[in-house]
Amino acid sequence: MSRIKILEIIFALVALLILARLFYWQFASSVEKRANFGFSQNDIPAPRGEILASDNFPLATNEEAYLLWATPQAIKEDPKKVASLVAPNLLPERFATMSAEPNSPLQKAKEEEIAKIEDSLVDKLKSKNLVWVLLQRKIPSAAKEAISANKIAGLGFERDDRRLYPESSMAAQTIGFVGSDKFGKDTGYFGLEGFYNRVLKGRDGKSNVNFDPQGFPILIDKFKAITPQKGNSVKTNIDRTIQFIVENKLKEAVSRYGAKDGTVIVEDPKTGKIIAIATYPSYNPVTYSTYDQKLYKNPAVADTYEPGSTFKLVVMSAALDAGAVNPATKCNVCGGPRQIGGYEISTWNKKYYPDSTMINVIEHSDNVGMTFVAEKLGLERFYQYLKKFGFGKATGIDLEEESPGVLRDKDSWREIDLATASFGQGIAVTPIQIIQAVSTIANGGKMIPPTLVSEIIENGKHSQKKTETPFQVISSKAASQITEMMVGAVDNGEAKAFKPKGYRIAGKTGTAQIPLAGHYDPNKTIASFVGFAPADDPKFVMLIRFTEPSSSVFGSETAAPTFFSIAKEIFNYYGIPPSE
Amino acid sequence: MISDFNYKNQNTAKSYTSNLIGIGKVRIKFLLILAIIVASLFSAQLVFAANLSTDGQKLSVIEDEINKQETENMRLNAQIAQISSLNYLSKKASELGFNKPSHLVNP
Repeated sequence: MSRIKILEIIFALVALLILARLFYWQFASSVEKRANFGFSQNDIPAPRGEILASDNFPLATNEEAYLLWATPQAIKEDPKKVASLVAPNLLPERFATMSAEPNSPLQKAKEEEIAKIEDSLVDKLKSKNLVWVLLQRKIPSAAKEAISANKIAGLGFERDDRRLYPESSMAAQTIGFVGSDKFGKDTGYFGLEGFYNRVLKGRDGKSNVNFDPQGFPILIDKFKAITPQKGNSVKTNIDRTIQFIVENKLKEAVSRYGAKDGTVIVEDPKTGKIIAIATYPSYNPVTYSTYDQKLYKNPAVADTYEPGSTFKLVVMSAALDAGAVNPATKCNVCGGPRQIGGYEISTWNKKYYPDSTMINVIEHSDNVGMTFVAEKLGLERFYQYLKKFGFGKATGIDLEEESPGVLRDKDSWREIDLATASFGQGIAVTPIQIIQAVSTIANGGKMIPPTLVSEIIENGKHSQKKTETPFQVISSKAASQITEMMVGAVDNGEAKAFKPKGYRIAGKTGTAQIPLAGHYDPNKTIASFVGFAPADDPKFVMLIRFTEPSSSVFGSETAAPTFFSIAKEIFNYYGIPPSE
Repeated sequence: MISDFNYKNQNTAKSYTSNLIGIGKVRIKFLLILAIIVASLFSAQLVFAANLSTDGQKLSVIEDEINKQETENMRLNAQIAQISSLNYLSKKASELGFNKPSHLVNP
């Protein structure tokens, strides 16, 4: 036989062998096919970035969770039995952390919830025309293990990580929460989760893979994977310890004074960094859907209110800077109430001090004296300084819901508007604007806009967020003068009994009536206190604000004691010794 | 008598035939080498494809291991975060009977 013939025979035999093997694998073999046999095109979700406190502790991070799905056609057991085994493991988070006595209302509520879940599961499992049905998202790993232990055919799990807030509801309105958008993808709402959603969410990957019957990917086929890109993390300026102190004190105070709500902001005036920002009542970002939606907004940036006497600091600073008055200037209209534009302007306690100096006007929180200051300044300069101090526009803080406040056009102002604005009524501001303005005073007249986030962290690389260049709003001389007036107001004012001994604290109380249907309600106020300490080298500026405190309407009896109580803790935390 | 023409033709035919045989031998050798190369490449592709098909399994095992480690890492990070949270520490301190200091000395 010729060699070519032999070669031909060999080729033919090899070809036959290959054909036979192909025939076997395609037609003859009965390999048990895994669920992911065949071509599959999947999104690979990207891990969401973290929100960190200033000490790199994660205020928002991710934890392992799963999506539970079912193939109704593959469920062999009775759907009711399957539902009864699965439902207790799918209780919402708010029940999961509560332990209930038998026959207690809580236990009954748990049982009702389980029954509801069972009914919903039974409906889904009975739909035999469906190939795949979603039963529940974001199930914790403990629940997944418990369900898997039942070894129910036709049920499966997929990774569906969920957000974890290790400090629970700390700074909830500032952090925000993660919910689902209309496509079912995780999306941040409100606070930092909302503002930095594009930074935090990363980029999902994709996999186009053909799987063999044993569930292993076939690499020579259309195998293509796009690696998911993890979301970037953001590092905030929030000091966890101060935030913790502030939240506890605020909660106690809201309860003690019978207020509807309370807000506290603490800022470092030299850098504009927001160290703490708290509101009570708050909510738990994990179980956000069980709370009133009104709680989601951050009142520190979103709520507008008439600031009352705390606004006198802005007006007096402006007048001192413009040279319209000096600390020793005497008020020649302070002997009694004034008639302006058909309205009577009086002091809060109906006490009048003729020939008061500007120092006295601030110490006594004298409304009549402030109208004198406003007239000396004039509407044009008054309005200019309001804009310089940042009123009527957003501060630019990195939170979603910031309001610019309300500053009516100067041309619509009447004589009475100038008068009332001088003592903080008839003008609407946000708490963050007040903090920005008073921080300017504390920082020698230089304004630095407030910021929450200091760094963006991408793949371990830290990049500093750009900060605005400070600009001089009032001179350092005017800032020193108003600071001394504020120290005097604390030492000699209505709240002097609550002040910690040995510290020079600059501050001002505010008691603003709330406008209601065209008039002011005398029994409903916004009670506030704003100040900084130590006065000569401020380490923090703080604003306390209560809405409608019922035990007393005055800021000197509600917000001021709360300020001093928190300030004492901050002095200890920072190791600031008394200076007097 | 063998004519010159016949002789010449015979010689031409002989050399032509021997040329043809020479050329044929070269062609056959060339075709043979080509066939061997094609067969080798075909076999090589079969070998690589076979290896690649099992590489899918190896990749799956490695990916499973990576996912397992990442999940464990995430679980531990979450645990650390929860037990070092101020809320947890504060509750624990309270349970253990720690009190807030009432007097502080500032150096």
